[in-house]
Amino acid sequence: MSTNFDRRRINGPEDSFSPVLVDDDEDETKWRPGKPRQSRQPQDIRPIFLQPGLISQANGSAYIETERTKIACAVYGPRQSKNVGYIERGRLNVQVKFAPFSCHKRRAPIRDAEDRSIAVLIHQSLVSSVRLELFPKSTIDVFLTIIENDGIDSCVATGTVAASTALADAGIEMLGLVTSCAATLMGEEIWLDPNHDEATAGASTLVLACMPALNVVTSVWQNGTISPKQGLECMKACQERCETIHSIVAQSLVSNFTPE
Amino acid sequence: MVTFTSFPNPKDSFSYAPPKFSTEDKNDMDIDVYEDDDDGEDFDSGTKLTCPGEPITSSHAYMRGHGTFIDQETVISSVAGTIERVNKLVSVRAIRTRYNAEVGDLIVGRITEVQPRRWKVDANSRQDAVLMLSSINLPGGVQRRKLESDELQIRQFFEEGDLLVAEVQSFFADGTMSLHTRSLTYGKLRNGQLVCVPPILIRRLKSHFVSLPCNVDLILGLNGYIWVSKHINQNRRPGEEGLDAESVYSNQNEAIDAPTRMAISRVTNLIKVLASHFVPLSDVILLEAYEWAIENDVEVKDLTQTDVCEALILTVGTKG
Amino acid sequence: MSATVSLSKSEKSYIRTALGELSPIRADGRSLLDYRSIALETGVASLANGSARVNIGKTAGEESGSGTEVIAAVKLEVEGVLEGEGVDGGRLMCTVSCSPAAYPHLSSAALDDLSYDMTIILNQCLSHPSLHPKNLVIIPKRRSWLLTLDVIVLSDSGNVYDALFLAARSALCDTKVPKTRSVQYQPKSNALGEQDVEMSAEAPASIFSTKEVKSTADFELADYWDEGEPLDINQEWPVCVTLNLLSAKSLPTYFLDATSQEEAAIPLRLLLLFSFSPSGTRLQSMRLMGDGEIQLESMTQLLESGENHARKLFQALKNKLQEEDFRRNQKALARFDLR
Repeated sequence: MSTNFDRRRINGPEDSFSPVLVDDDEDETKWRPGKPRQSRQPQDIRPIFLQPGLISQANGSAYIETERTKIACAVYGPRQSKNVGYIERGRLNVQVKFAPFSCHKRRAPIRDAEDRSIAVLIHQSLVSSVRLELFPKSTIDVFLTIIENDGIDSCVATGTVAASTALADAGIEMLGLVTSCAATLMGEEIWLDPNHDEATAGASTLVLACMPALNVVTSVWQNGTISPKQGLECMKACQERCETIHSIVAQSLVSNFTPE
Repeated sequence: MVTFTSFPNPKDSFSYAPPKFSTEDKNDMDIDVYEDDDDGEDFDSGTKLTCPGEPITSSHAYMRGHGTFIDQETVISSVAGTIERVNKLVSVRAIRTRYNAEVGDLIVGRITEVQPRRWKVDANSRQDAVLMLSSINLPGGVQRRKLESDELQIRQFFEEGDLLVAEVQSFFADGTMSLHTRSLTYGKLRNGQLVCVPPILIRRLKSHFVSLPCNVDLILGLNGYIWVSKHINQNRRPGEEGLDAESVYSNQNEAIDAPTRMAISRVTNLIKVLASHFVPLSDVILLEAYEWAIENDVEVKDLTQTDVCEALILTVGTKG
Repeated sequence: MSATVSLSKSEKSYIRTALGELSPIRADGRSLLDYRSIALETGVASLANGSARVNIGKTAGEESGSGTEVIAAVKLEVEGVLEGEGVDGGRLMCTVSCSPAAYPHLSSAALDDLSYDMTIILNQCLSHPSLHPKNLVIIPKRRSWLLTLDVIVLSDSGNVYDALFLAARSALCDTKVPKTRSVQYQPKSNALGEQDVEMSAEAPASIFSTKEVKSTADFELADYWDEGEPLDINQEWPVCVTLNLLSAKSLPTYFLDATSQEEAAIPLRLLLLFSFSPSGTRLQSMRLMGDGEIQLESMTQLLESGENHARKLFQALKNKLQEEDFRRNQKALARFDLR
């Protein structure tokens, strides 16, 4: 970076940078904003693979995969709360961790800020479904590991479904199964279950978590600019889709307990 | 309805005073530090203010009390407050301080912890006070013996977060207060809301249970916690026989009608206004303030507006 | 998650019953839809490019320490796009820090968690690309402004999110971006002189182009640093309304501006952020917080009512900001006259 400016010569640029390695822009098959949705309809969600009971040492567990989002969830509890005073209701403790290889850029294994924001949203979705008043002085720990991450909203929605399945697998008393669906507003259309590119390109993203069995909504999280009417439509679409996801979850739980 | 106001202009409330040197200060004080007068009349302790480190008088003539210390034969103040003199005893009472308890004080406290056979109570003081299981009225009669089952079901009596009114029974060696609720007028608090004021504003009165004519009861805890609630008739309190747990330690509020709730809110706002203007509280002042509010037909929520506050303080503060 | 004050069961039941009656009465006599008085002042931090201080519920006659008090300040820093972390077009970063004085009962880890939660809500809403100001560019693809919005919570007696967004909005509206002018060194024409060249509107086509050398290499501040232009965004910055939800049945009642005791008794709330501009009303962010659930059918009514309240708040805030502008100009003129 020395500024040996030589007046007798034509000098190159003062600063130098390594060349930027950019993806091959000429791939026509890759999706771009403005193009219609690839490989599915706007109202379709990606196919879900849900397997409860994968981690045997945990009280309950679940593994969920939807195309490129893969999350493993383990539930420990209810167990004695340590170092906390008397609490009448139990505590639900949700912890999320990204695997270092889960995103395009490597994430450091330390627990950072983004982990907590996802944990808080999943906690909000689950806390009113678990019958915590039956477990005074106890804690239920829900540990989520994100193995592959295809958009934060997708992580939150899929993580909620995995956590609820794991809680059911652990035999913890709940008022109902919580399912969750994400949506993005692309122009005037509502696209359900967006992946990372679609969510970034959309004007607004919305994640809704509900208990379809009781017809109540436990968590709503919306970001970006949207008109209130479109917001309501998004929420309705998400809730309808949550009912479909609910039947998938119920089926996987039942088939897991049925001996082969 | 939204109203935006402004912050008070700091330049109005005080002006930047040039620093004074200590030599000039001596003229303000009536006492000369090395004057050795046995008269006792050499300073009047009317409303003399002092700050930490200021010498008050010689230690040969006077004994030091709370809020002072002795250094090189002078009594020096250690807090910012008013000097009080009783014969040969000089003490300084701080203007704003945590509550300092005396035996026999009535306080309103909140349970912070439940421990085996005792509770820890937050009384706005240096340490949490202690309420022993043996110091409360057990249901089934005032003289009932303590059973083991009481220890196991200790949360049926008081839980974390509960409010209670109690009296200071004694002090432990480390200065912790020990409370008791061995009277039918003490115990768990219901049917109302709590207001917090600086403890110094509560004067020691004959009775801290005040009954206002608007069907509102007040309990003026000496630690600055005031409980405003619906009026309970004396004869409706549970009697000595058959003191059942259901009523004494229950968390159920009674049915309270709308005018009483409105009155409770009004009294709460009045207390907050008086406290923010540093008016000492007593039943007389509160009664006057309440009558003033009713006469002038002030809306409950408007009591916290600046102009209403000023008018109230002018009327009430001068009389009190 | 949030720091709630501890209340006894009978106190909570007292508050809930009072709110659920036919003619509801709150602890300080307000109606369900009344806000406490909000004190607002802009330009409190003279070293910042824009700042504001908000206090909700300050009791008259007492020094500050009561009420929910929040200070927000905007600082603009220059960032390099290629070598630094900058993004072409500038970027916004919001942080909230909670002073331990506001939450004396929390441990430092819990306080960090709480600060972090508030930061994430503020940041996700205000840094969204739809609200991105257009005039944060200094030299395209080389230098841009990094706008950091720092908010401090000094005391909390309920309704802290409304206060955070009010302060953030006021500070952002008060921000003036210094005008910059690009400068280029041209050795050919004038041996050792500097020549100011007006920025050409088009950026060079590719980063490998050697024309880069001859185009703008640096910039200077055009005028005195505290004159400048306000942030240029398509819509207005949003205002936040927190609806505290009373019952989970099909017709929920709600109330606004809860005190910390009311928040402890009624944990469920809905945060709504609306932005009002001539092009229409937009919902910028929505979040359900607290233990409890609602039915989707009630969301329509909640969104509508939230919008109405947000509109009133927005209008009142706008008037107040104009008053503040006027007052500060008067003060500046008065000081100028004194000289």
